[in-house]
Amino acid sequence: MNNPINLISTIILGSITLACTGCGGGSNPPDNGIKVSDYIDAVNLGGETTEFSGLTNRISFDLPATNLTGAALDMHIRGDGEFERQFTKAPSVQHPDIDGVGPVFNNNACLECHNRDGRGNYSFQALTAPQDEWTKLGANEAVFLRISVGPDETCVPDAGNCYCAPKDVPGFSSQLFHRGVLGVRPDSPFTGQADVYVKFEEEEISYADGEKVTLRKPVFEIRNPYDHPSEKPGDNTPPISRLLQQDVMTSTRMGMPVFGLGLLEAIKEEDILALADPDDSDGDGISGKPNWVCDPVKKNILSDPDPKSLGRFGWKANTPTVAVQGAGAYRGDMGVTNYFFPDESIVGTVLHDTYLATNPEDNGQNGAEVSATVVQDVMFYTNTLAVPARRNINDPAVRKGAELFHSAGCTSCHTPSFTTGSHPGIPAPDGTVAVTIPEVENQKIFPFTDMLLHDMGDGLADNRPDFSANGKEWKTRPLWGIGLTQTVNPLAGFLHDSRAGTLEEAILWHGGEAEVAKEAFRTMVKADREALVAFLKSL
Amino acid sequence: MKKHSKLLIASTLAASTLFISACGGGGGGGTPPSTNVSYDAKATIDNVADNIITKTYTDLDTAAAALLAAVQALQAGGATEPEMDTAQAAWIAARVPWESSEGFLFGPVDSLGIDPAIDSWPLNTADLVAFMASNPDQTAIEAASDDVRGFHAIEWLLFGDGVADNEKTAAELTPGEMGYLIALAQAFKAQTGLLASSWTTDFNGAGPYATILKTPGAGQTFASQGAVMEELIAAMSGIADEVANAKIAEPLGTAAPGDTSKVESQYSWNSLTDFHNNIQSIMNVYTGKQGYDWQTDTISSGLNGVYAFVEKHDPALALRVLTEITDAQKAIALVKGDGIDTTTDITGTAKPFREQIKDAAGRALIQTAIDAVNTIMTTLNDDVIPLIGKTDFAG
Repeated sequence: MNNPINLISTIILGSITLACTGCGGGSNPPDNGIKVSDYIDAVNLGGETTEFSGLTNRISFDLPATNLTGAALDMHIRGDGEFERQFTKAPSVQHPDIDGVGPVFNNNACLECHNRDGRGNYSFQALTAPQDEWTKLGANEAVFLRISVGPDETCVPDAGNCYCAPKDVPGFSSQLFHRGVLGVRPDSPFTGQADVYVKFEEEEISYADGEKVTLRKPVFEIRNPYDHPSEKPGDNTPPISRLLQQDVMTSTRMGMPVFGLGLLEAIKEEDILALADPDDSDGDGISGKPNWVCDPVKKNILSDPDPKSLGRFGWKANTPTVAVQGAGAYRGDMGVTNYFFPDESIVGTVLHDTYLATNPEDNGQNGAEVSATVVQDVMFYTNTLAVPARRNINDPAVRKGAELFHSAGCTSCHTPSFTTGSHPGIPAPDGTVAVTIPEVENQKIFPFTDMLLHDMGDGLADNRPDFSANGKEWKTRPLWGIGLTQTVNPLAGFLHDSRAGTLEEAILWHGGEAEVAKEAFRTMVKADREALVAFLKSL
Repeated sequence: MKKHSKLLIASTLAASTLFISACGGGGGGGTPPSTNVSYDAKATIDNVADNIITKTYTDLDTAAAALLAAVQALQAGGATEPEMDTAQAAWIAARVPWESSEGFLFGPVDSLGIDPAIDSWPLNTADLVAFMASNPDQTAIEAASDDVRGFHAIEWLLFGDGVADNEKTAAELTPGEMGYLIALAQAFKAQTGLLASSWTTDFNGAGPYATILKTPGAGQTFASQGAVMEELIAAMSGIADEVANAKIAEPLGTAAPGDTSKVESQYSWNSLTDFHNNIQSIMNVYTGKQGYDWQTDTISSGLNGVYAFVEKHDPALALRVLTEITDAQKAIALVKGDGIDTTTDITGTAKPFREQIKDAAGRALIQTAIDAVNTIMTTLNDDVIPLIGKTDFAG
């Protein structure tokens, strides 16, 4: 007996074939071995971890993997509480359990950048300011700038240069901290290394049918650096502050969703590398490049002479594991030292030394501003947040969109599916495995990412190399859950700097290797464009 | 929201598998007829959006304006005692709509970061004092850390440290504190204005958020009436969880004397009133009437609250939820220790929460209140939210 739903699917698919043939466009599905039938009916995008209750509200990204039980679920719940923890300045006599933020930082709680475990957003003031009006980043911002003075793109990676790791801006670090605890900048209370301002620029593009879309992107200006207070670009030629010199590269980072990460970490390395084609040897216009990064656990804890790992996380795949990403965010984004990163990000800088001279008690507590137990709980939490189930799979527009997603070439980078292997676990302070996560192992998942870097063109380029990633390359973002992004956070945008207010805009920002796919979308008739977006919203 | 509440919501919804299948639009000739209850939630959603949520936020903004005016008058009048009393009363009055809004902490209040900006707790009083010395204006306050601004910074300046009493005098207010108070109140008013206008006028170019809540549909922020109802009920459950298991339970701790430093609104001794109004926020959304008073009001589905939805499914359950909300308010009122439980007006506290956590009799009363509030959460999660999956909504 036929399953009624499958029967309906067959009928609808037949209609889609006719519709696509009818609408022309001339696009043929890429020869990448992927079939629409591989994913069109997928519902449990995170395998057995999938959150399938049907929740479509603000907590859609905020629920535990459904296969967690017992002690694992307890650990997840503890991690959830810690993820919400708002840190205060150290030392705090009354609240030693929450002290340690700063002395410079970007935010004081995980949740403030990962709004309900989803994407962050710009402040309302910035989003609604008149065009060309600068807005200063303040508290509760989910965005920051990475900064560096090298390497350039001729760098040859090796253990000696930590595989072309970004070089700190002297006197600063590799991340710009716009906030500081009181006392770190006596001249400018609550400012960190510098103030950062943002405004938005707009441009208009047209679809083939004449409909116009306004695209906008944020631009940033750094002012009031601690090494030359009150200076801003253009005040001095050449600039005086080290931070304002021409060789300083910047790149924007908006807080991203944190669900499903354990599954991504459990994808077998060989399966990712099998998709890589860094020199485009097959001539399909799509490269796919692994980012080999310096792994601080291998380097600093295990003393591995070749501390190289495959980058999996971050907008440019510049961190190898959830543990490194999370512990790095504690120390970096919040200034909370921990067992992976015992020193403050600005250790050894004039700013830090000057601050310590008058505030010797805020000394980073030798890497214990947050305990190993708490770090492990939070790492476990972010490894085990459930992927939401797919919705509306029988909607004809969604099914048509699934076809168009493939025929436009999107699947060449947004690889629909993997089967996970083993998870490496969460490392203890000595580098051994403290916690295993079998729940994410051996799962058939649909993340819609190949986990590789791709040239995304000049429009999205940050021109700041990050390990093997050059200035135009970004990691293919997972698409699971993307349709619930603005249900979880109505102010959230898309792409690394949240420039796209809609999925449609995000597609239109694609370039480089994705130029053909973007053009396929741009030249579709409106109904097809809407169908493709409907498919994305079903994820 | 604490995870155990979310978890319970998820598990109960998952058990109610009809929800997904209803949304999927599938079904064929072999599908048995739906046994779901048909319900058009439009009247409920419209009423809650307009007359509960939006009204509460506009009340908050009005109260914030009054608070600002009161501290400005305090300065202009040379800090007299009557003006100090007025300013303290204005702070307490502003707490009412704010705490009565915590049963619907979603949408702009979340995305705009309003909660941390105006209600962060605990304070960093050492930094507050140091920062105050720089005579910061509103702009400087808006760039400052959350733990030196907002409700509780204003409270600390207006009421003192709350240890011996909550009756700071005008004479104790220094000129530096006066200037800081005004800048705090200005920044506070800016936040409440932004929050109110997001619901009444526009939210980031998408129109009023009240309209967004009232117009669910495919491709919209809320995909269906069911999604809106789920949001409302989950938020009610969330604040019940927060009140029972964080706001009350954390200061209580596992043994006397508890931890006074974790008591919110400890300077003004307003904690119990805060808790009461948190439960009132549940009461308001549930009944459909802002300020619903169990002593004088009569429940009816015509009030267009969540009650109407529950009543359509199960009249006995609908009344049970109302009783549980009422019981929680009574239990909180009793914590003050004067034995009077016939009124929800818990002002005139016989003994503040910060003192009641220290002795055995008070702790027993507090535990009873925790249990009563947890009962609301459990019922909402176990019995009410599953009804969403058993409903054919009209849109």
